Amino acid sequence: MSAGDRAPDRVVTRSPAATVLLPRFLEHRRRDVAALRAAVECGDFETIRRLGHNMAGNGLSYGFPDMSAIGRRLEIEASAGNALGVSEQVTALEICLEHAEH
Amino acid sequence: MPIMLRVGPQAAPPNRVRPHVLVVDDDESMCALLGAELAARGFEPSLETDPERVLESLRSRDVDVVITDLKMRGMNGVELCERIVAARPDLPVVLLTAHADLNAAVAALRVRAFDFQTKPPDFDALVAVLERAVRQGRLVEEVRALDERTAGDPGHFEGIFGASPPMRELVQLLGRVAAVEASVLIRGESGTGKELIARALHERSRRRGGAFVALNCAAIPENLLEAELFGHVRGAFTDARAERAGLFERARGGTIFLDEIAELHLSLQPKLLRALQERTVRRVGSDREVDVDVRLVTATNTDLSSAVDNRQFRADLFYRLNVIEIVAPPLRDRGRDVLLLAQYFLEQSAHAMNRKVVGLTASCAAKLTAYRWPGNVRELANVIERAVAVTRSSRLTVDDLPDHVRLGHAAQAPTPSDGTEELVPLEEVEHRYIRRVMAATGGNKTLAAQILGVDRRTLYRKDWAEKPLPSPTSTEKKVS
Repeated sequence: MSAGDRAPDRVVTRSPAATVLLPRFLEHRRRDVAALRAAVECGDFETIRRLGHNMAGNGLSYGFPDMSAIGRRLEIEASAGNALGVSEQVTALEICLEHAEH
Repeated sequence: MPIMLRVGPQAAPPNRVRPHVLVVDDDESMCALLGAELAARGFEPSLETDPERVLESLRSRDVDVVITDLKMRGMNGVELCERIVAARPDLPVVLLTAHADLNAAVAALRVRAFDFQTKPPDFDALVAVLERAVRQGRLVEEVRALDERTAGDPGHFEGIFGASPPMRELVQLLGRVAAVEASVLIRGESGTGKELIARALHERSRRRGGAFVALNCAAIPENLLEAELFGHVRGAFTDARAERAGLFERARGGTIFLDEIAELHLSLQPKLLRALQERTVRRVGSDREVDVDVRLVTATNTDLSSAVDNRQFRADLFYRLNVIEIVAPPLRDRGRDVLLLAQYFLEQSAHAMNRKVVGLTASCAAKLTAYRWPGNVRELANVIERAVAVTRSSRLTVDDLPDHVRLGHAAQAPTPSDGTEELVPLEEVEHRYIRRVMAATGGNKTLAAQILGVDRRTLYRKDWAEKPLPSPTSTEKKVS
């Protein structure tokens, strides 16, 4: 399955605090997309692993289980040094963010 | 760029009601969310996205607990926890990580983290952990403050001390009462320190240069008590081989303390009343009146006015004794005094046993404050003495406490069975059961007598409460 075919993130219950902080969260994840692309370019898998780890933890907290799953896969691909796999997950993250913004 | 912001009621000053949590996560979104969720649950959070700045923050803030992410830029949570524990061993640290990872959990335990939680946090569970951490941290703080207080100034009032409101009232009352000559009746449960109060009154009175003589009315048979109190002449009774002064004469210029005054037999009550009114006594077997000059302090653990109503105690004597009534508060009403006293007894016992025991762990302190102490201060003293004797560490732990304190079973009546199938003579069953009740009540004979359904005299007569169990040779009589 390609990243473009990925289903939109499921809607889950979000706490009032997470709802208030959501715009900032999404802004940070968009910043992550840029940082991930830059890290792939220069082969900085440690940064990718760290960003993926954080995303795995906070995606679910903000009501985005698929974003957490992408974070976990980013960690795995970064640990394996698989630039292609990382790029695929970054694309998936972009799609996820588009759905989230709507 | 690191941020440091406060979430929650900005106008409210930091206080000890809302526990202050320092949240550390290099992911700003997660840090902010944790802060907001904790603020909504009654905490006062501060946020820190740069772990390198945490130690500096702690120096300037009154923080109750730290919650930190495990994987961060610059310094990971394990390293941060290690540094915090080294700098502030009293401050609990809770680690958070994205995955439930056994290695991370082991690392957290290795650096003495208070607990380990996974992301996304289950906030109910996290709040429970944080509340527990705050309670423990505050207990550690209290124990340390107690260490400092008792090391610097024991704050004794003639051997009586306590910071609780009932004890502060008591100490104030003692200060006023000590100077007057009126009779004092001290009312309080067994083990609350009634004799200590009587001694304090004596030491603070103009009579402190005289003797302080104490007698337990329940401990002496009725036929000997009169001679003990008033003295006797030679030949007054079978064993009276020589003339002897009683306590009233021996305490001339001082204070007599009669404990368990409710046990004073009706036949002796008018004689005591007369001694108080006339200020003279007559030795048993003598017609001669001897002047006495004593202050009488009495004590009871029963409702003496009910005994008056039931005609077991003379009303005129009751009013003569009860000119001033002092109530010794039970330990369960004395709040944190338990820890103050525990530290005091710990130091006494450690010194006496030449053991290097300096304090209590927080969990041990929590058990001591949670327990009901039916045997009051005496029971606490016994428990601490035993714990100091058996402990293997420099601070008493929960494991050093007897089962009934550790499990919070205050003086539950034990069953006669000792859990064995051994068949023993009835006398030995009685002996063992008395010993069990005595152990469960912390050596409190009055309470033990209540549980056993006998009066104290019977328990004294049995004298088994303190006797060792029969030697194995007694099993020869066993039936199997």
